[in-house]
Amino acid sequence: MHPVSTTDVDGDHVTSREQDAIRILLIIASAAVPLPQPPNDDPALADAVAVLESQVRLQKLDFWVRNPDFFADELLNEFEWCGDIDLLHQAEAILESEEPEVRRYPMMRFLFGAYEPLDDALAVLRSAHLVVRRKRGSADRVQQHDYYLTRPGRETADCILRDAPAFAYFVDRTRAVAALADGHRGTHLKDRQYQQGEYRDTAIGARIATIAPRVRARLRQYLDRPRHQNERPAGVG
Amino acid sequence: MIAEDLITRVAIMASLPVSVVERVLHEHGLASELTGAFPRPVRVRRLRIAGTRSVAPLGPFTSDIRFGPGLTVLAADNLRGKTSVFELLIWCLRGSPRSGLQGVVRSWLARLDCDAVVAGRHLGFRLRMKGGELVDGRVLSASDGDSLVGIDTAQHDRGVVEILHATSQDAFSVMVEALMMELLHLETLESTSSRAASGRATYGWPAYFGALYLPPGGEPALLGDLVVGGLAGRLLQVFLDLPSAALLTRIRAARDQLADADRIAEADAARMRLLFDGQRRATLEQLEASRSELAMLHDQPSIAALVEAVSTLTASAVAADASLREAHQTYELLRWQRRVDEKRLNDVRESQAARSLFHALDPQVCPRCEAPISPERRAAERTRAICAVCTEPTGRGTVDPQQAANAEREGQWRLTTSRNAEVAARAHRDAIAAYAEGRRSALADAERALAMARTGEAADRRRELVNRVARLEGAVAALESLPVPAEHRRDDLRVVLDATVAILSEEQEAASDSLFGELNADIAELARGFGFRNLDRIVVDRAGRLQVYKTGGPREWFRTQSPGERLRLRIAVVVALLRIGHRHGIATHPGLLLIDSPRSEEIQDDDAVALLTALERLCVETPGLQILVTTADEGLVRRALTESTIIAPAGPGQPLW
Repeated sequence: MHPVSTTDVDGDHVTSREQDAIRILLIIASAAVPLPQPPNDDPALADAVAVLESQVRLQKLDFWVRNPDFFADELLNEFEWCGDIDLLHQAEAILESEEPEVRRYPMMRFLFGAYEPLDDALAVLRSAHLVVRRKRGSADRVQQHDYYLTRPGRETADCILRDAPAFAYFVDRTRAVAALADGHRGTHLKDRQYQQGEYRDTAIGARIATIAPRVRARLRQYLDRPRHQNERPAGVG
Repeated sequence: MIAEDLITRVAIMASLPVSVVERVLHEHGLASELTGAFPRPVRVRRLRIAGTRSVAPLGPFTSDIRFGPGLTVLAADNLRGKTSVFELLIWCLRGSPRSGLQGVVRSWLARLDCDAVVAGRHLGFRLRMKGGELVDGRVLSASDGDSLVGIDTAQHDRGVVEILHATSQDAFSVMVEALMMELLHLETLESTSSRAASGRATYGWPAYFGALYLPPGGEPALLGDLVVGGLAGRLLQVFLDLPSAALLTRIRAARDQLADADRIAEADAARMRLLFDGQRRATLEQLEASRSELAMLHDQPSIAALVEAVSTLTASAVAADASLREAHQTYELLRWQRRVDEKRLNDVRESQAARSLFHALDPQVCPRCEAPISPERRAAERTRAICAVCTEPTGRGTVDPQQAANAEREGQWRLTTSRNAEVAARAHRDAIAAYAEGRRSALADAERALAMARTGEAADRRRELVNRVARLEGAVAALESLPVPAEHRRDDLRVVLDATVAILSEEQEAASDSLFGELNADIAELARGFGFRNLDRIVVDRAGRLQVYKTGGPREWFRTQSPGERLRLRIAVVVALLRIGHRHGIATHPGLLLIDSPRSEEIQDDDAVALLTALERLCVETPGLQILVTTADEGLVRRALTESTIIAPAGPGQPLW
């Protein structure tokens, strides 16, 4: 019999530039902070409506969108942290489905953590003037990238919401991920990702292995224990 | 009715052999009581009192009082010992003093001798006292009264024998009671009583004696000095000698007691039945369980067959497990394939949608330098397929809608196929898993059976079960044959008692109608003779209730009469009993009557004279009647009486003794 991993489905498959562009657009549209008015020093940003700060943050959000097992694990962490039973149910919905297998797009681990070169996807978005990337900091040392969503970018994202059922899954997921990450800055998010053993131990340049079996076992622990413990879990306060 | 006659009649009524009736009555101590009438006269002849007086006249004294055969009147002033004479007589004849005897008088006494004739026997009662208590008591018996005079102990040369001797009051009273009851053929009066431990209250000689010493006029009882359940009626019945009245009383009490005992026994039996039932049911259940287990063991195949079964089942279980592994791998593979197909279909749809979207958008700036794309370049891309950004020929830039639709259809088709395959593989795997599980458990059963057969466990168990079944069958049989506790002899007893009660009641009913008729007439006549005015008639019933009808008046009861009238009625009742006894030759009242001071009973002088005269005449007329009367008016009795004994003090103001 062939050695078949039933948890890593089609791990070598790579998404197209346009698919990546759509996913990135949806993430930025969901997680970007609205601007009261466009920055006035840059003509390219004249029609900017929102901004997502930090490349690290963008990549972390993308990581969670592409890896439902890690996202579910993070939901359980958050549940343990704040005790919101909705988070447990959200994780349960993901882990009870085949999302971790069917919706998983593993990422290469690069120097900064879960890193995938986003330049191609961003070029597509920039060329169509949907997202504009701007660097911040001194001339010799880039400290941070900011991703500005333009008015056409917002309109296109809204159009995808309405007219592209193929992306319905990503629309929902990017919103959920943005909701979880809300308030977390990129570096902090990276810290949280490193708490997950499989990810931390992955060799640089290798694909990140699935943690679905472990997270599913973890979910069972929460679901099997007495209800009152879930209503007020340890670690609160 | 004689005993033999009664037993025969009971045997006929109860449909039992005479021997059984005799045995039953004998075993319960009732046979000896089936007696006919006996005479029971009691006569006092002499009372001798000796002791030391602590009041005037101080010092030692000895007094000898002789009573006449008929009426004897003790005439003395009040507090001169008239009533004490009665109390001392009672102490002797009853065996125990009444509480009415004054303590101070008792303390004077050193000895008390009483000669009396009881049922024809001359008895000498010899009591020795110290400090008011009896310390030595004897009863002597002699052939004639004179032999007893001056004799304190047995004198065989004079024909005097001692028939009882006691050195304590309690023993003396018990002995006297037994003696008197025997001599007078009296039976213990019994009635059921919830207060007594035995369920029966018994009344002996002291109760009978109450009918000799008439209570003061104010007392409510017609006869006797005890007002207890129906005692007056029972005394009346005994003295009227209604056929075997006491026997009937005893048998009724015995029957009542038997009924109580039966109720208790029935309750016990019910409890036992419940217990046995429970035990029987539990045993039956155990028996059933053991039998079915045994039946299963009998169905066990041989060891060879068991080995064969184990080997066959092992092979099929191994094969089933191999099939299951294969089915599982197939399922996992197909599931993986379906997921791949699902993912690819998603990918095809998304990438096509993404390409369509972006190719619909005109490039605005260079993604590299952000220089705007000119309208000319955009037009060149549309018209000549020259890329608006890099100015290279696009070639593959456009999306062929037909090709895209084909790609999606193929992905859809692949997914459907792999999905169906996965479902089929899962169903197959589940079926194989169930089959394998069945094989494994059948193998385990066969192995256990084989192991049991090999170690001989099954044989041991079978032997054990055979024994157990036999034991339980025996237990069930024993429990089922267990008799409900009941005593057949008791049934005989019940039948005999019921029959006896029925016969005696019938006898009594018949006898009492005529006897009570006579009694009523005699009482009324006598009471009128004693000065009871306006008395029309008397009706006394077997319960001892006496109704008084005065001329033209309504029915009145004994207890509502005045003390004087009650006294007259009591005397009339006793005398009437005696007269009827003599008339019919049946046993009746002993014929000794002690009447204390009729004067004090609100009787006028004229009436007292009339009463005493009537009593004197009665004593003359009635053989066997001895009446002792006290009075404070010596002159009156000396004037009125001619045929009586009058005992008076030596001088005015002197004590009677």
